[in-house]
Amino acid sequence: MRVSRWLTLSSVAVVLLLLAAACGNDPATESPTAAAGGTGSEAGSEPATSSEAPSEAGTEATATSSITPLDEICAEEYADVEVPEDFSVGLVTDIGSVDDGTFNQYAFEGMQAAEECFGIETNFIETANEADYTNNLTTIMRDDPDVVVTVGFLLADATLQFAQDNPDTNFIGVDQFQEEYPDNYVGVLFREDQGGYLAGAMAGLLTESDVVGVVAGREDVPPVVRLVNGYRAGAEAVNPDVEVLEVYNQSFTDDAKGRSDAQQMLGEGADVIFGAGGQTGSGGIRAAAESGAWAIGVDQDEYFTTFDEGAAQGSESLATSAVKRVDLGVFQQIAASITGDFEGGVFLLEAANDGITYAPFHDADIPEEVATRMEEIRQGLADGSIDTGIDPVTGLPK
Amino acid sequence: MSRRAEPGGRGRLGEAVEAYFRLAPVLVPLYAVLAASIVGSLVILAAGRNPLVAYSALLAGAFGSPQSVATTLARSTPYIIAALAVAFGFKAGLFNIGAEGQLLVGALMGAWVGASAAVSGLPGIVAIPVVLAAGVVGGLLWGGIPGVLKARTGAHEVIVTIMLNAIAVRMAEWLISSTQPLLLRNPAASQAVTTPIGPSARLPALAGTALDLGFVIALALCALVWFVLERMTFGFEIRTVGVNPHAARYAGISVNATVIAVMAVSGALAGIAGSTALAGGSGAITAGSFANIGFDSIAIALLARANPYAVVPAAILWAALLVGAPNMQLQAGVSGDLVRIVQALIIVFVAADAIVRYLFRIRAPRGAGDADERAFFAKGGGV
Repeated sequence: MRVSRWLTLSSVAVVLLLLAAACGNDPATESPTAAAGGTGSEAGSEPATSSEAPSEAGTEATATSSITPLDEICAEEYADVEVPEDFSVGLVTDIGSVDDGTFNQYAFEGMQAAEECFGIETNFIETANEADYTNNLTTIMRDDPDVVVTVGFLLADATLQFAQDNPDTNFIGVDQFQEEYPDNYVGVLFREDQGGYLAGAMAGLLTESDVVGVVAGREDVPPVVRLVNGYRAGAEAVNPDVEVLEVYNQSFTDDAKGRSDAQQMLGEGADVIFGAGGQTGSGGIRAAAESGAWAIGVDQDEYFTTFDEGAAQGSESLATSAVKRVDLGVFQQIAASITGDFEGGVFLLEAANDGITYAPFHDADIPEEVATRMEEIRQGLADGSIDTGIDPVTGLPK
Repeated sequence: MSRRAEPGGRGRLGEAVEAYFRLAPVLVPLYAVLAASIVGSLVILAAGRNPLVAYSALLAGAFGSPQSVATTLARSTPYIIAALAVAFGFKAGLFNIGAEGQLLVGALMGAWVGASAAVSGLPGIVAIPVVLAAGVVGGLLWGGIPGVLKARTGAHEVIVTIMLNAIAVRMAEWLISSTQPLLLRNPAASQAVTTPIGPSARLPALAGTALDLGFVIALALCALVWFVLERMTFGFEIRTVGVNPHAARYAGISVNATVIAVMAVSGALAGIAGSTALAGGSGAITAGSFANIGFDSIAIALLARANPYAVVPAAILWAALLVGAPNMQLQAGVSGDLVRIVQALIIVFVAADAIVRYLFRIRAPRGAGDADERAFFAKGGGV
C-alpha cells in the first residue's frame, strides 16, 4: 500500500513537472506564468521583453511632442560617456511592483533605460510592506551597488539613514524631501503645481458649461494638494468664469469611489474631469469619458494605461494627461553618477527641464487654438513668464 | 491504512493520546511546510527559475549572517505575541479575528502615552513598562468589547472583531494623519507619522542589530500563557469552555465571564504586541506600519495549532520568509510574492490536515482525547 501511494504521488509530481516544463518551452504561455512568478528581473536582464510596457510605448509614439524618449536623450547627450567597470544600480520600490503603473514602474523604466544606454548592471527589490523598507535596503546594499534608487516619500527616513551610513554609494530618492541632504543623496522632486496648472488650463479652455471637476487622492500627500491647487489656478487663469469642483479621497486605489465622485460632478454640470489620485482618479476619468465628458489624466500618459492605447471606451474623450517624468529624473541622476556630475540636494523636475509636461491628444479632437494655447502656456511655465501662484513646498496658493 | 482503524480506542485513551499529542502537533505542521515548499518550487520552475537557487537565497537572506538572524528574530516578535493572543482565544473556542485592530489600538495608546511630556522624561525603567502597559490597556478595551457583546447579547465575536478592525484602521489613519485638530501626528515630519516616543521608553537593542528586548518579552509571554492555560484554574476553565461550554456550565463554570475574560486577555496580548513593536522599532508609527500583522498571526496560530510554545518557531518561520524574500528577488529573480504563496499553502495544508496525514501517513486524531486540538478547528467559528 505504501508503495502504491508513493507511486501515485510521484506520478502526480512528474505530471506537474512536465506541465511546468511545457509552460517553460511555450512562449505563448510563458509570459502569464512568468508574470505570477518573477517577471521583473527578466524584464531587467532582457530589455526586449519590456517593449510592451505602457510608458515606453508611449514615449515611442510621441516622439514629436515634448515627451522626449530616454533612448533619444541617451543618444544625444551621453553618446561618448565612459562607463566605469562593473557599475551597478539597485532599486527598491515603494509598496507595489515594477509593473504596477505607478511611479514604481516609471522609476524602474528610468533605470532600465540607463541600463540600455550605459550597459550597466541593474537589480531591484519590490516592497510588500512598510515594515520591509529597512530590510530591503540592507539587502540591496549586499551587492555593493554604486547607485541606489528608492521610490516614494515613505522611504525618505530609511534612505537618509542609509545614505549617511554608506557615503560611497549615491542615493536617488524619488519624491523625497529632506531638510538637509548628505552629498551622496539627491531627492528627485516635481513641480506638480505646474502639471496641475496645465491640466487646469486645458479644462478651462475646453469647458462649455464653465464647471470643471477634479477627483483627487489623499489630502495629506503634498503632491496631490499641489496638483489640485495648480489645477484651480490654471483653470481660473484661462477662464475667469470657471467654477472648480474638487473632492479628496482616503485612498489611491478606490476606482469605484472615483467613478461616483465624477458622476456626482457631472450631475452638477461639470463637463471636464481631472483625475489626480492614482486608480481613484483613473476611475473618475473613465466614468467621465464613458459619459462623453472630457477627461484629463495624471502622472503618465493615461492613454496607454487607463485607456488601453485607445481600445477602452471613451478614449476620444481623453484630452491630455499632466505628465510627471519620474523616469527622466531617475535616468538623469544615474547618468550624473556615471559622469561624475552627481550632487546631493534637491533635483527639481519642472516644465523648464521637460520634467513636467502634458501628453499628446491622441484620439481626442482638440481645437487648433486650444492646442496652440496649451503649448504657449507650457512654454510660459518653462521660461518663467507664467507663475502658477502655488507655493511649491506647501502646495497652497501663495 | 489498516493502522488507522483501531476500534475502541477510547478505552486506551491515556497512552495513545499522550503519544499523539507529543508527535502529531509537530509532525503535521512540519510536513505542511515541506509540502508547501515543494509546491512552491513547482511555481518557481513554472516561472523559469531554479528553485534551489531561490530557496538558498531565501535562507541566506533570513539566516545568512548574524545581522540577518537578528533581523528575522526582531521581525518575528510582534507575530509571536499577536499569534499568542489568537491562540489564547482558540483555547476557549473563540475566534479572535480582531488581533489586527487590537494591536493597532495598543500601538496607538503606546504612541500617545510614550510621546506625552509626563512619560518621555522618565527613566527607561519606568517609561518602558508604562508604554507597554498603555498597549495592554488599549488592546484590553478593544478586545473586551466583542467579549462583552458576545456574553451579553450573543453577538458573534468573528463579526464584531472584523468590524472593530475596520474601525481601528480608520481611526488610526485619522489620529495619525489629522493636522486640524493635531492629534498624534508629528508636526515636524513631512509625512503622516506619530510623534516619536521618548528615547528612554525605547526598548534596548542588541548592539548594531535590530533585535531588541521585545523578543525576550515575547518569549516570557509565551511561558506565562502556557502557565495560565496548563497550571491555573482559570486556564482549566478556559479549556473546558473551549471543549464543551454546556459541560462547563454544568460544572459550575461561568461561561459568560470566561468569554469576556478570554477576549479581554487576548486583546491585551495583541495590544502589547503593538506597543512592543512600537517601542522596539522606530518609536513612531504610520497608518500602515503594522498592516497585516494581526491577520498573519491568525495563520501563525493555526500553524502552531494554538500551542503557546509552538507559536515561537511558527512566527520565526513566518518572519524568515518575509526577511529572506528580498534576497531571493535579488539573487534568484523570483518575486517576493512567492513567499506569500508558500505561506498560504502552508496554511492550506495545516487547515486541511487530512491531506498531510494522508501523504505522510500520520495517524488521524481519535475520539475526544485531543479535544483541545479539535476545538479550535471545529469550533473555532464560535461556541
